[in-house]
Amino acid sequence: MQVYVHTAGKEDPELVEVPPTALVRELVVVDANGEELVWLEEVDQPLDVQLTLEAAGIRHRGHVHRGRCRKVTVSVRFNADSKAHAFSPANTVDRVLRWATGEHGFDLPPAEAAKHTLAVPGADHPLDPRVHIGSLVTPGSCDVKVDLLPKVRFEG
Amino acid sequence: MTEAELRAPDERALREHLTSPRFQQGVDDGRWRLISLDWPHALISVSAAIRDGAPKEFVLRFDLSGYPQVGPTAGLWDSSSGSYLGSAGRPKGDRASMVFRGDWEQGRALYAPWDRVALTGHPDWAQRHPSHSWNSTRDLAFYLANVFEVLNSDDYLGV
Repeated sequence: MQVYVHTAGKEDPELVEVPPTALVRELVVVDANGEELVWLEEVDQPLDVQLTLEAAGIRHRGHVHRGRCRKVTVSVRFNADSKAHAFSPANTVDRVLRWATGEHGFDLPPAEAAKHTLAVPGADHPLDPRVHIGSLVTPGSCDVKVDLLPKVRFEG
Repeated sequence: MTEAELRAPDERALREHLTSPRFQQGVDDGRWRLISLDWPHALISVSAAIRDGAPKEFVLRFDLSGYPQVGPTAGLWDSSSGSYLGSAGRPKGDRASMVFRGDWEQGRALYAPWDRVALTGHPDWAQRHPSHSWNSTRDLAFYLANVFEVLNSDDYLGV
């Protein structure tokens, strides 16, 4: 089977070929910093790495996140304000965007919320809603800073 | 030499990108799908949000010559007639009406900076809209993700 594996430092996942009977542990990296954790996409609790991929609920071409941050603190800047919230690293940008525009974030009216997107400061592209927020952390950190920006209309 | 080795660099680059996780993720998510590739043209459908009387996907006919150094260009395609889509069937909405306008370049290109024809015709767009402009580090998934975003936003109204 093939599994999309998202990890810190890369917005795009890798497509990894693994047997369904492999253990979740085979997806992680173990080094001097210890063993990484693995999450199913949009799930808060990490998986038991002793389980097989099948038993852990990982399906063919499903998405998992591997990394060392149990939580990622996301700071969203909007106009001159900033709000922060802790997310699972396996949460998607889409979920963060809904929080940032929702009542616990900047509380934008639905019509206004639909006109906004998230981007890493200084990046050359808006964030794809499918990116895992944990993919945006930098080495040694569990923090992410993003800007809430209006979508662009092309004219002239 | 193998068939793959005989292909020109632009076709090889495109075929490599079609197998990338970025492109395949979009296929698996139902965001887009490759219908056919007859180099340098490709037909690719992009899914759209459900709207009364509107199709669930739109087909784009791409010209990918020179990819990726030269950006792709694409127009909405009517597969039943084998021609570019008429004004009546084009997506409408605040941004969709502009991006998919049929009164510009005979509807054969998208009015957005990720499209080669539009970017060539608007040299200032690369500086004004760098986050949405094509450059040689982009890939086909970048073009398709931008189209998908327009067709799945609340400001997309249908046809």
